[in-house]
Amino acid sequence: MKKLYKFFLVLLAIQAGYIIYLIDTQFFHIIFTESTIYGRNSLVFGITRLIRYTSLFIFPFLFLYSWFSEETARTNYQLYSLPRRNSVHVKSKMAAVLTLGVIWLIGWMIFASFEGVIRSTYFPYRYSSGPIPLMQHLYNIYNRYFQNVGNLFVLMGIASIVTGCVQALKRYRLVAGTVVFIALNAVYIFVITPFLIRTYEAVIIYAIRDFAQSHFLLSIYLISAMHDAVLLLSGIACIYLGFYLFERFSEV
Amino acid sequence: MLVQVNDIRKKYPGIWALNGVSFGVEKGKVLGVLGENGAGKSTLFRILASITRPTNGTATVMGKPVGYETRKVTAFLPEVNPFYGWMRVMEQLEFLAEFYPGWDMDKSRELMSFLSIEDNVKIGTLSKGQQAKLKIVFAFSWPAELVLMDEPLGGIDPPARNRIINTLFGEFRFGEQTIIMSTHMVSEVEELLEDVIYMKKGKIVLSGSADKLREEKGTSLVGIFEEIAG
Repeated sequence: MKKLYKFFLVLLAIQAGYIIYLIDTQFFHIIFTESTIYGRNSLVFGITRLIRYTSLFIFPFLFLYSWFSEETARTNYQLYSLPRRNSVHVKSKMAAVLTLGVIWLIGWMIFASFEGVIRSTYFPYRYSSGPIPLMQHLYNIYNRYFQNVGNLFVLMGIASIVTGCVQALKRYRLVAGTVVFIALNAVYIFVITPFLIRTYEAVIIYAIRDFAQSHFLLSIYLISAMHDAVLLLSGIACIYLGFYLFERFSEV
Repeated sequence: MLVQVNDIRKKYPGIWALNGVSFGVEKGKVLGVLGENGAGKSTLFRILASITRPTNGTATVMGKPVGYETRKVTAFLPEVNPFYGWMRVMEQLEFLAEFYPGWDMDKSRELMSFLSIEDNVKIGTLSKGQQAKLKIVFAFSWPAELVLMDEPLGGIDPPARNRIINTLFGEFRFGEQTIIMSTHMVSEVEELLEDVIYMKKGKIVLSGSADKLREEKGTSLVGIFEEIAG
């Protein structure tokens, strides 16, 4: 079980690395390009964004850890013999981890409230803000506060299904868990993420470089909002599928 | 019958751990499930505790199919230590008390005193024997209708086993609790067992009232166990 747990941690790390590579290398490419125009302000913004996104992976890690440690310590005997449905245990753990996620989000909200001021103070733009500061500000709030909620739910959904599969099986747990993990990531990375990247590119290039095209920005915001809604709903669906697997198949 | 098991089978990859087990236990009886390692005793206990699902067959407790409803009336002591090592003894008991109706914390303290367990030490620092005693505290702190004890004496010092088990059954048992116990240490519990099941390779090879079996075979339960084990 320890080996299985460590293996999934490695998979999780690869997942984090690959998604960050996909999103943030392209993001940084733009940032570095823009940095020649806008200075270190953009670079600092990119670094904080990277940290924010990377820290998301703590939560599926905590969820996987909490389950595998129960099996390793044999405390799953106690857990499953409590007079509650099996899915209650997994729901409780998910709720605990998501609560930490909310605390994390609030922390970022507080930080983000000051981040712009700090960046502007120490790394001022060479140009003044554009003609639509309110729109830009609203998008920044939306982007920083809510976009990662969708990503958090997708990652937790993947962790939920993988853990449910591993719990449900007695044989080929490693193979099945890995296949499900890779398949779900493929959907996430190759279907959802490219869309995310294109949105970012459009937002960054047009929002920063050309503030005049406000009508175009609005359509980008709407696309971005739809994308986040899809992420959130997909994540919730995956989480519930994991719950179902626990209720239906899990045993000691 | 408080417990009724009908043709239970359980398959693990490459092996049938249980292969058609059927029996019934009347309320208030003490049933011994005896057999060598790999006989299927622990799997049977896990199915009765509803933490493992049978591949085929049915099991009921108080007329209800085993499930989360029957866990409300079943105290399960697995062979392993199921407690959280980072919790202190009293914290663990208070945690469990939240889930089980009629938990008597005063009785828990009495049991801990009798079994010489300190309440403020972390469970991870307890010896194997003390952890086994803590499982017994859990089993007798609330009025479970059914107590499933899988190798309850493992780790407890040999001289203390007999005294502990006799005192527990004599003084700390809640009324007519039905007890199903598996053990290798048949001689330690021989006097307490009213009914016995002998298991071998996932099947029941002999069952009946302890007195009747002793009379029929002309030897003690230990003798029968050794005979079956071959």
